[in-house]
Amino acid sequence: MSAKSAGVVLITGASRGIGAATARLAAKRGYDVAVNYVSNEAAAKKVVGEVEAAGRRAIAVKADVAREADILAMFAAVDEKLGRITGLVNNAGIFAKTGRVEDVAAETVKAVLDLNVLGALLCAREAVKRMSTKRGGMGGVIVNVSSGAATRGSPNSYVWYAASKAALDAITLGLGLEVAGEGIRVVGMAAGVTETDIHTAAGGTGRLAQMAKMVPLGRVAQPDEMAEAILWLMSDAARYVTATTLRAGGGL
Amino acid sequence: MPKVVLVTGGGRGIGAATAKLLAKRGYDVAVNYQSNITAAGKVVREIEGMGRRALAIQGDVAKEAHVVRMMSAVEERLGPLYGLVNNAGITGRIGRLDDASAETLQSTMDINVVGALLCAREAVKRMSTKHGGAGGVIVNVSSVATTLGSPNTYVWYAASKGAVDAMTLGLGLEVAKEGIRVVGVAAGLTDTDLHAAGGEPNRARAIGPQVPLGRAAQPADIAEAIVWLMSDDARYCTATTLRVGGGR
Repeated sequence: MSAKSAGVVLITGASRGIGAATARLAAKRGYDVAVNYVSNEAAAKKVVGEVEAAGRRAIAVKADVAREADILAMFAAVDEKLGRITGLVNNAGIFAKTGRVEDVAAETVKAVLDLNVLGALLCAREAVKRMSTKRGGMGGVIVNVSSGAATRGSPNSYVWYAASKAALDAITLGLGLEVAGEGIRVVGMAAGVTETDIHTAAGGTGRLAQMAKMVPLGRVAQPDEMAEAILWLMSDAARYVTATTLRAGGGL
Repeated sequence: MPKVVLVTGGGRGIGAATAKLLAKRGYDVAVNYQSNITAAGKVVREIEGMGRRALAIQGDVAKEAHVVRMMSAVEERLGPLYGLVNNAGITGRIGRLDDASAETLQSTMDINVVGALLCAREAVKRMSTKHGGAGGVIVNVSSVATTLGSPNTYVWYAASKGAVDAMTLGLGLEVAKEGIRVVGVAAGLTDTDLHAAGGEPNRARAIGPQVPLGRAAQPADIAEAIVWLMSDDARYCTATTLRVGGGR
């Protein structure tokens, strides 16, 4: 075990993509990490192994972030096994399907909002209960992983996803102001089009190549690049940044 | 070979804090100043004390000839320009628009907008891969005033910073494929002598408690954001402005 822990961070949806990259970078920066996953236990355990290889503590914790009971159990497990959290990364998110609003099923919209908005709010609520100096906590940082879709609206792709991320941005603003005097910063990171299997699931690598053409920087982002932004926002260097969302979109 | 960054208005406040933090992170720094050579010289000595190269360079960013001469001098003395921090800015005397002089409005626009555009133009000419450059980063120091509007304080300053944000967006898109990122930092209420120049030296202390985080920013708080955006860690951030306002 190397130097003193920089803190305990819970990352939702951390078995893959941006969440996994954030877990690995968090370990490198000295944090102990709770790796939440919903179904891919093998992937989560691999991330846990990588965090431990970096000399930090880690646990894999299964929970469907769209369900309150799962969230409560997850926070209790983190309390017990890693100690009180100092950071939460609300990363778990889906867009479920691509298409036009006129064709979307109610179940798709509901699944997206349950996970991306309700889940993020409930996780933030549990984090605030533990971090707020008003409740005897030591403060902390909540990073909400948003998307440039929140301001672009994503017509013909996933308006429901864009809507969910705009709601998340409002949480960053409102909750950030609500707990600013209680030692907690709440910040957002609006990710650009990132090379993760959220896109592969929706239409293969061809879809990513197509999207890269629309990005002013001329390429899609790597998960590591999003993780850098998240970890900077979580760090003390960002101590005067709260209730706002950083756009890391390559110009999109 | 250390990367070379020019910080306009680098002798004081956010500019000085940025120049020093850049040096700490391994950059060589050109410290532009308009009139206070003593302050700029002090920053240069501190940077040299950290083992980095530094240069104090006089220039009024509102004057094209000064900007062109300054850029050439920086490259001649320190080497190819990697970064520009468009930090020089003024508010003019604090008050309502109906009491503001034309000179106040003119000088605010000249320094904050025309100056930033001219410095950016010269930087792009040197950095753009299209012009044979090696790429680089331009960080524009903006203000939360752009969205607050600053009624009864300095509407013209808010307007000038709104223009800077538009430049961050537009120029960022214009040069995205030429190896140059253009990013902004919207600073909140910061404890610098900018307020004294506006006629309210106690502004940061007086308004600090009203900021959601409960205090005014220190220049170093803003410098951290500028230096991170300048770094390679922020390589996917461009054409956007980060708010560093403590919730404002």
